[in-house]
Amino acid sequence: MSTHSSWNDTEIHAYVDGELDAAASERLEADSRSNPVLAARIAEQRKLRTALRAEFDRVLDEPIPQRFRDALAGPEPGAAVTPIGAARREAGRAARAAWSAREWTAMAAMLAVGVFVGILASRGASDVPFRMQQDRLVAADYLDAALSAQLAGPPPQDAAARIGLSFRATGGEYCRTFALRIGTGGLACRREQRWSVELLEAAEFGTDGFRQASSALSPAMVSAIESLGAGEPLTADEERQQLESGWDAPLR
Amino acid sequence: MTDSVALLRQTLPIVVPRLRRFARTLTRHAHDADDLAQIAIERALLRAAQWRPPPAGATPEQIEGAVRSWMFGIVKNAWIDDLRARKRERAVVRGDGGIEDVADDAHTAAEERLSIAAAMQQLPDEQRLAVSLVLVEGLSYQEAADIMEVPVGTLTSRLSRGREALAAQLRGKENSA
Repeated sequence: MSTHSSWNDTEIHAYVDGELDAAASERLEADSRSNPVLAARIAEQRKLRTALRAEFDRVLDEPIPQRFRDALAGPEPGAAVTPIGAARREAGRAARAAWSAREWTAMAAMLAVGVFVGILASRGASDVPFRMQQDRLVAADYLDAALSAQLAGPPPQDAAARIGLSFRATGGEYCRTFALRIGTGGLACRREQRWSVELLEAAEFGTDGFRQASSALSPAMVSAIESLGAGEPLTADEERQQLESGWDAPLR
Repeated sequence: MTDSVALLRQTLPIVVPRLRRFARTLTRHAHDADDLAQIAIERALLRAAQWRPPPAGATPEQIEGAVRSWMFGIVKNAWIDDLRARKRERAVVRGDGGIEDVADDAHTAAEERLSIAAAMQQLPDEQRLAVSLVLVEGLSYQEAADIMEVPVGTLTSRLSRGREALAAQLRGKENSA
């Protein structure tokens, strides 16, 4: 194989990144000893790596903010971040705890629904965002409209509802989290051409869509979403597609 | 809870510092980076059942590596979603979808020349991602390309352009100092 004394950028970069094969690396090193320009180019790239690491490695030494411990505890309220061995032993117990937490959530939500709808109705509010249909609570009025026609994220100005996350449940139906200006939030899934409300809770109506939308998920909400077997949230493009096609789960 | 979900849950805390570092390279502000890392963790927990652990007998390092790669992919996707959302917001606010913040960039270019972090922020998004995965996170070309969902050749060309731009910044800094 011919030795070439002129190395291109890609080869020099690969060498610095440890991606050049051993034989080529040896030749490059040999050349660099007699070629100061080559040696300088290698040194420059090494220095860049060092400078980048020095800059960003500082993050590794920072204490982990509490928000991460909360996020890691996730759907299981009370499941703390524990060392690996302990975590392994705890896994079975945590699963049972999560199950009962889910049942509690469902029960609390059902109680809240009755009270909440009752209060709204007795106030004679004209634009009640929920109604009972048979034995289910479904979205109505502006909530129904927002769930069907509003993109997730920062709401239009003066909007009464904000959509947080959209995703598809394992059953194939689409579900969306929402928050209302009246201080309530929840989760609704599209079934039989209605938005069926799966969870209701007190929630802040944030104006910062990105941050509020997913980082402020309550344990109850995470638990509810998890029980629906949600996948990756829809991207903006996928959402737009559903806004047009009506959110109905494809026939299977 | 299946074994793989339990394995994921107990490995996640270990990779949090790396997730935060990776996110920090992508965003201009530290709190945005933490938002990104946190959202990735929440998404990961929501879809924990989709994680495929390495084959039985994998070392703890291999398991950690598998979780890390998976999480980097989720961070990347969350970041791209956010970039798109921000573009959409800007378009709505300005009533157009076109011109980027030209004036803003011109203004900051001169004063931010001194810091490598600022130089990173001036790279095009896809170059910054490539630089971050290989030069900061130390991933192999193949691993980085997998996370970016591009061929290795695309990764190396983005990486090349990004690192040369950064090296030029460092040279400029030395010459002016």
